[in-house]
This record gives sequence, C-alpha cells and structure tokens, in this order.
Amino acid sequence: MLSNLLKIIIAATIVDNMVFIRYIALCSYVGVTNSIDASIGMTFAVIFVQTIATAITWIVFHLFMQGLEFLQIIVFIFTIASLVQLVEIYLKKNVPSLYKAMGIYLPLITTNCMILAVTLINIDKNYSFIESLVYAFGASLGYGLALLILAGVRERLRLSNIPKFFRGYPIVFASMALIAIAFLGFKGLIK
Amino acid sequence: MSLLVKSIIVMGLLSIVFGILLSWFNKIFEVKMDEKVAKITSLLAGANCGACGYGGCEAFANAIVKDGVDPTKCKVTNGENMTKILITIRKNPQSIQKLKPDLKCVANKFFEKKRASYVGINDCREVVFAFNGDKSCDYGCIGLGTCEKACPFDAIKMKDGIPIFDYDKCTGCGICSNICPRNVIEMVGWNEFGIVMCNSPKKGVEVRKECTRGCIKCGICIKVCPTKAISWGKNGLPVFDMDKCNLCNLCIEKCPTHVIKIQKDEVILLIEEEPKELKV
Repeated sequence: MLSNLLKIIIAATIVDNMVFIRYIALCSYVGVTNSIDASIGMTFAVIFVQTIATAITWIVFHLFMQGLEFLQIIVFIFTIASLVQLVEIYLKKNVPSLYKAMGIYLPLITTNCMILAVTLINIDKNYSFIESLVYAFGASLGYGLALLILAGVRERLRLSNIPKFFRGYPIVFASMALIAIAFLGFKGLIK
Repeated sequence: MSLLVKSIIVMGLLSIVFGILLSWFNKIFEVKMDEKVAKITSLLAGANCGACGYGGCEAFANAIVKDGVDPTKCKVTNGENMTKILITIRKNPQSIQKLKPDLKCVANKFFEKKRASYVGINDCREVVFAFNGDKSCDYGCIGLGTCEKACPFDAIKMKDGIPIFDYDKCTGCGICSNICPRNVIEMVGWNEFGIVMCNSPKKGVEVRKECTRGCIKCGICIKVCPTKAISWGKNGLPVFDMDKCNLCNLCIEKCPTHVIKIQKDEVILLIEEEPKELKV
C-alpha cells in the first residue's frame, strides 16, 4: 500500500512531470516564473487548490455520474470554479493572512488547465480516493519544482548578455525545452 | 431519453447546490471594508512603488488608518491629495517637505579617469564586488544605469555615462537613491538646495589623480562666502545652509573645478564645463 503511494508520488512529481513531460499548464508556467517569490506563492496555491479539487471531483464523479462520463469536463470545470470561489470567500474572512499570501493566484488557478487535467487523469486511471489525493499532491509538487527551476534560470538570464533576437520569450522557451530534455532522463525510473 | 433526463437532473442539482452554497457563504463570511481605507487608497498615487515600506498602496492605507502611520511617508502622492488624506484622518495638513534626487558626481565620459576596462554584468551593484569598477574614483558614479532600470516612473536617462533626471516625471520616491551602491544620488530639497557635485572624501591631491572634476577640498568656497553659509561637512565635503545663502554666485565662480550647484526656487546656479579633448 505505502510503496504503491510512494510510486505514485514519484511518478507524478518527476517521471510524469506535468510541465516538462505532458506539456500542460504552460501559460501560467511562463506567466509567473518572473521571480522566485511569485513562483513560491503560486506553488502553494496550486498544491492547496489541486488537492481540494481532486477530493471533491472524485466524490462528485463516483456519487452522481455513473453512466454520465461524457459530462465529465463540464461538471468538473463547474465544480472546480465554484469550489475555488467558496474557498476564497472563506479564507478572506477567517484566514486573511493566507488569503493575502495567495493573493491573485487563487482565482487565477480556477482556469489553470493542470487542475482539470489531474482530476481527469485520476478518473481515467481508476485511482482510489487516497491514491488520487496523493497523485494530485505529487503533480502539483512537480509543477512547483518546474516553476522554481525556471524562475531561477530566468533570474540569471536577466543579468546575462543574450543575443538580441533571443531576448524575451524566445530564450525562455529555449531554456524550458532544455530542462524538458533533462527530465526525459527520468523515464524508466518507475515500471 | 433517460440519459438526457438523468444528465439534466445531475447538472441542475449540482448548479442549485453550488449556487445556494455560494450565496450562503457570501452572506456569512462577508468582510466589511473600512470606508476610510477605501478612500485613502483611491487618493494615494497608486504606483505601488513600495517606497513607504509597505507592500503597495492598499497596505499603506490600511496602516495609516489602523496603526496611525504618518501618511507623508508617501513621497509620490501630490500635495492636493495628501491634504485630502490628512483631512480624512483628522490631522492638520502641515507643509510637506518634498525631496528630489540629484547626482553628487559630474564625471561623465569626458571628465572621468579610468584605471582599467570593465567587461561583465551590466549592473552597478555587481561592479562594486568586481574590484570596484573601471573608474579610478572609488566614490563617484559607476554609470551602468542601475538607477535607470530601477526607476518606476521612467524619469532617469543615462547620458554620456551619468544619469540625467527628468524632474517633470520624477516623484521623489527615493528608490534610485536607495539602490545606488555608491550612495552618489542624494535626496535634496525640491526647490532649494546647494550641493557639491562630488562624493569623494579624499584629499585634493588624490582627487586630482583620480578625476578631472572633483572637489579638491581647497576651501575657497568657504572663505569667499560673504554670509558664512558654507561650512565643512562630516565627510570632508562642504555643506550649504540655504537659509543664509543670498545667491551671490561667488562660490560657484571661484570653485576651481566647477562642482558647486545651488538652486533657490526658479534660480539654478552652476557652471557647466565644456568637455575638453581627451588626452591620448
């Protein structure tokens, strides 16, 4: 049981990294890697929302949606959006410090495609409740890892002498591709 | 048919449940925003520059109302709005001492002396670690434009290796003065100041070796001043008492290296030296 969960978390974090192997959530990924501070905030917000969203969507799917699999995407987006709104309202009143720390990222994450992708993958792989929670946590951890790596690279890039035609986003995508190739090396870590 | 009915029921049920939950949450977790905070936030400059030491204008407005922080800590807000803010929190609007940045160095590429050539990261803060840079003087402007990049209002332009300030755009927030690793940008009074445009505390002979336009500590300005408005300051450079100054222009004419600059209201006194031919 435990070894199985460990396998899932390593697979989700490194081997099956959302950004570098599946190429999901690139928009927010490029958007918030401007500085390490912003990406740390984003990481915690994603871990938080991803885990809660997975729990709720798993329950909704297994309670109400037998035979209605074609409605998955609509229902999941709907559920995640309302859920994030509820959490936001709650945090604003009761845990204002956490609300301030997550700031603008919380509502932004509602439309992050990684949240939806992970919930769909969980259903697809027929994970149990605990397993899907672990997978969601691992996937968001992997996303955070990817954010931190690129944020560090971009902070260095800002001070370095880049050819004119490579400045701005081209160099970011080039460095992303190089990191992704490095991550390919983890393939085969888990059977 | 039953599939259609079932999906309509499930979707309808979910939307009703979430709708009720959302409106219910909205009611029981309602946060009342302080009216004063909202008003002060709208009156503040809204640049979110952080020069006041708080994370943005809203956080600063919160601190003003709740902790009684002095609103004049914000250097960016203009006088009219600042008066309104002071009235909002029932304080007497006093006169606000506004400051602007000026450079205590004139060594642009025509006047500087170099001891090496620098190749590396284009940032003054890095140069300080790298053997103090290529200019002979260890106190003057490095000229790689860290202040230009740091200015949130686009009021600094680098020209011939030193920053030129655009006082129409400048708000006096002081970010450039804080970020400069050599502390060569001084915050002076907006309408009234006198400075020596040199930052070197060294003796005259050494300054002569390192720069063509530095303060050589000759003391002529102090001797020549009829109203005794100039005296020696802490780091060996002359300082000006603007209450005594009568704009006689004597110190500026007598200064052998022409590094004194005086402003009172609209009058600006300084001698701009023409760049000489560079010696090879």
